[in-house]
Amino acid sequence: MLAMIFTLTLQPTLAGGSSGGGGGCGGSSAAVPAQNNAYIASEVYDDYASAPVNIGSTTYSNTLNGEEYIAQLLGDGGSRFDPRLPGYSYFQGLVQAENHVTIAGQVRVIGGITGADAADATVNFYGGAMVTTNPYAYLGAEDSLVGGPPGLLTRIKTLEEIPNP
Amino acid sequence: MKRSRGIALITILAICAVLLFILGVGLKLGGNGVLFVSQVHKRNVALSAAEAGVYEAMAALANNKSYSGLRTGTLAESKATYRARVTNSLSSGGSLAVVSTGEFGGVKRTLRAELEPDALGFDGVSVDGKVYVFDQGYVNAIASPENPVARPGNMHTQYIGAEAAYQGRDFGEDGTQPLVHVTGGLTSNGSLGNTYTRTARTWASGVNKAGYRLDPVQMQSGSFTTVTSLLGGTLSGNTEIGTDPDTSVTKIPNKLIVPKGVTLVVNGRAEFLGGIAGDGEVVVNGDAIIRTDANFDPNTKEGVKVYASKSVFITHPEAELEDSKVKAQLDPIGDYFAQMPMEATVELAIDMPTSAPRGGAFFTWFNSAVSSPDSEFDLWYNGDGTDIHPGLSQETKDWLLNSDPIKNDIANWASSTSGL
Repeated sequence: MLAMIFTLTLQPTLAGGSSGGGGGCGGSSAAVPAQNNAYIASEVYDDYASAPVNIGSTTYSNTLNGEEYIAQLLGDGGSRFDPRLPGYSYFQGLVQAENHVTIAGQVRVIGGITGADAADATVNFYGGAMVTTNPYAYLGAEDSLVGGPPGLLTRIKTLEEIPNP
Repeated sequence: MKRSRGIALITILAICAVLLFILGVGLKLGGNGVLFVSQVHKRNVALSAAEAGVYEAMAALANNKSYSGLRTGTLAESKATYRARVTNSLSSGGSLAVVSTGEFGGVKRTLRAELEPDALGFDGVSVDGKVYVFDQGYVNAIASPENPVARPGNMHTQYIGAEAAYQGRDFGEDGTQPLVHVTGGLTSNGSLGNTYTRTARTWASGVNKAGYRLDPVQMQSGSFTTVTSLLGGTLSGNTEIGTDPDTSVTKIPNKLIVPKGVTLVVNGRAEFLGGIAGDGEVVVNGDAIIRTDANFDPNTKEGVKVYASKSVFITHPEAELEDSKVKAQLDPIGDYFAQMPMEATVELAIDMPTSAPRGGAFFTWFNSAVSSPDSEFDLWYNGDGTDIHPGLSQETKDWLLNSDPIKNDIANWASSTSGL
C-alpha cells in the first residue's frame, strides 16, 4: 500500500503570518515553482492576518473493504453506491469562509463549499480533493442559510397509490 | 302423427330457449366487457391526471422553494382534473410530500409522492473568488447520504478579473497536468481559463448567479454557555469558547459532534483535530482547521454547517500543514476511483459476463479480456444496439481502459482490505 502512495509536497498557501511579504512563505519547499510563490505572495499571503498554521499528520484508518466495494460496484452484494473511495477521508457538511477554503489531499467534502467572498479569496483543491454536493446540506438551516435561487429542483423519492381522500 | 308433431314442437322450443339463453349470456358478458373496458379507461385517465398533479407541484416548487398549498388543473385533451396538495417542511429539516387526486368520469385515484431536493439544482462549490486546482480536483453529487446515488455535481464562481476564474497548478512539478473533473456543469462569471484539463458535462463562462450563504449573525443569536476547554464528544446545547478572535486558539483533540439545533461559537482559531460531525452549526470567528477521518455516516442527513470569518482548512489525516504549506499524499487507487464516470455505477452491472470476477481481480480480468473478447464480453462492452443490451458508454470504457497500469495494485489493495 505504501509503495503505491506518492508523497507530494504541495504548494505553500494561505495563512502565513502577518509579517507578510512576498517571495514565498518559508523556504523549505525547494520544488515549489517560483511563479506559484509569486501568486501566493501577491494574492493571498499579504491579506491573511492569522499566524501560520501547523498541523501534523496522523494515522489513516481505512474503513473500506476493497473486495466488497468492487463487488458492489459490479452489481453484487446489494447497493452499488458507496460514497467512500479508497484512501479518502470525509467531511459531511457545508463550509463557508470569508477568505480562503483549502481542502488538503484526498478529502471528500459531502455537502458543499460556499462563500470565499473577500475580494482576493480563493478555493483550493489539493491533490485529489473532492466536493460532493449533498442537496440536504442546503436545507434545514432555516434562518441561517440565505440566498440561492428562488426555486428548488426536486426528484421523486417515493411514489405510491393511496386510498382516495 | 300428432305425437310426432308435438315432440318436434317441444324440441324446437327447447332449442329456441337454449339459443335465447346463449344470446342473453352473450349480451350480458358483452355489456360487462364494455363496462369493464370503459372503467379501466377511466381509471387510467384518472391516474394520469393524478401524476400530472405531482408534476405540477414539482413545477411550482421549481419557481418557489417554499411553496406549500393546493394546485388544481384540467388536462387539455381528456378534461380530467387533478387536485395536488403540497406539504413542504424542508426548510425546517422536514419532508416534502405531494398528495394528488386525479378524477375522470366519476372515477378518482390518488397518488402520494415524497419529493427530495435534486443535487442538479445546487452548486456544490458556489463562491465569489478564484478556484485553484493543484493537480486534481473533483466535483460531483449524490442524491443524499442515505441514498448516495450519483448525480451531476456543479461548480460555479462569480469571479471576474484579469485572470481566469479557474486556475490549474502542477505543484509537484512532476509534469502532472492539472485536472478539473466535474460531473455536472462548470460555470463562471468570468473566464474559465485553460491551465487545466477539464472534464465536465457542460461548461460556460459569463454565468451570473448568486449562491447560498450562511448568516453568521443569525447563527450566533440566542444564549450560549461559555466554556474554557473542549475535548470532544457531543455538545448538549449552544456553547461558546475563546475570548479573543485575534489571539485565542482552541484545540479540540477528539471528534466533536454538534447535534441538530445546537450551535458552537469559537472566538479565535479553532482546530478540530478529531474532526466534526452532526447536523448542527459552528461559527468560528477566526480560522478553522478541520482534520477529517475515514468514517462516513449515512445517517447524517445535512451535515454540520461551518462558518469561518477568515479561512478554513480541511485536511486528510495524513496531510500536514507546515507553516501553512500543504503536504499531502496521493493514493493512485483512490484517484482512479475518483475519476469514475457517473454512469459507470449503473452501466457496469448490465450484462456483466459470468466469467468476470466480482472483486479486486476484476480489473486484471478486464484488461486481459478486452484484448480477446468473447461474445459475452462483447455484449456487455459494446451492446447490440438495443435498450436491453446498451453496452458501456465511451466514458466508462475509457475509465476501465485506464486501469491497466494499476490493475494489480487494485487487486492487492482489495485483497489487503478484505477483512474490514
